[in-house]
Amino acid sequence: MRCDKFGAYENETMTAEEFARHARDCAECRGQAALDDRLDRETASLRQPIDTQPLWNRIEKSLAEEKSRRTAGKERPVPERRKMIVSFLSRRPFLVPAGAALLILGLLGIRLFLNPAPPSGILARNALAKIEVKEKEYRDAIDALERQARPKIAAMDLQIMSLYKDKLATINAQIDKCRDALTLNPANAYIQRYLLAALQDKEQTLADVLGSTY
Amino acid sequence: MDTMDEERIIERCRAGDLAAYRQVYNRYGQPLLRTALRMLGRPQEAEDAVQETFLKLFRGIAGFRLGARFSTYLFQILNNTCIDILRKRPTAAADEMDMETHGATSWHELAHSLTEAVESLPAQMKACFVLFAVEQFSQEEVADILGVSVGTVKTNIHRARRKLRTWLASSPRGGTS
Repeated sequence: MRCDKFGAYENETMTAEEFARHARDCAECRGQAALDDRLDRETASLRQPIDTQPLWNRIEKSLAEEKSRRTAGKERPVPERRKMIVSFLSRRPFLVPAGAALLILGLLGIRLFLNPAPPSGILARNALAKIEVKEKEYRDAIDALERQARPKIAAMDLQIMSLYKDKLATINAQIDKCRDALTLNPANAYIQRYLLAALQDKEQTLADVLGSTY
Repeated sequence: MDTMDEERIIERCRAGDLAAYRQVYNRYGQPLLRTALRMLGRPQEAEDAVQETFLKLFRGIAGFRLGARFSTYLFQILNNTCIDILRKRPTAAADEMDMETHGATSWHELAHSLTEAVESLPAQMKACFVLFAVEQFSQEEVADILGVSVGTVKTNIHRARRKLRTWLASSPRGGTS
């Protein structure tokens, strides 16, 4: 192609009128314009209707299954979730000790709830100190997870990013509230349970972010 | 479907009303399936992509802000789903290969129709061309859907048109068979 006027017209550096005047005397540009018209016509024919009814039947079935799973309180089939957790943990081995810490924390929490020790007893103080250590380990592990998830959240599209940010901000506020309440009453098993649930929620949310495809 | 209707339907979708999803499908099923077909080139995978798009919509509709363009949101999900499918293909490297690296002759020999010629374009160029020229989104909407700049969209559309004109000029069989 020797004449570059069609390119200029395409790049909008030449108006349609200018190009039409030029094309009257330039066979090459007339040819390009004719091909362009033909491309438009043939491209329009790519919008041909497709029979989409059979696909809707499949989609409706899968949506109904998803809905009933949600109603039953399960958003994903168990094997899929299990597969995801195994693959997630194998890539982040530090989460295993964090999980063990969580288990200990949970058991200690339950024990405290069932048999509250006298606040002045040395055993209670020791147990509370242990809980604080384990909880700190768990929080550190979640913080490490959050650092890994941050670049992925930043790379998400705006709507999904704001969704995750809002969710994490809510959970963080919940965690801070529990921590403040525990400063006043460290042996309160109810608050410990709320804190544990919030930390688990945060862990699951970050796992979703790291495992997501958005 | 006007904006008010669409907002009502989205609200019903949020409430889990499957009839509302049917209305979304009636409105967008055709362009979604056509786009997936052009992006993936395989009917079965295209259907899987649209099905997955609706499942993701069902799971994530709570995060959709009213006032944003619903069609853009839906096609964003579809585009991400198609990219996932392409990544999982064993021959992904070959499929993703930029056609700039092929000689023009081999490309022309491979494509026997405009459909095939479009499918042979590099992934991002193809997505820009299909969404803009076939599904008639604006360049700004295409940029939103693909998460790229409007400049990138314009460049890709120009390059795609140039390639397709070259193909039409050299192909006596040029058509949409």
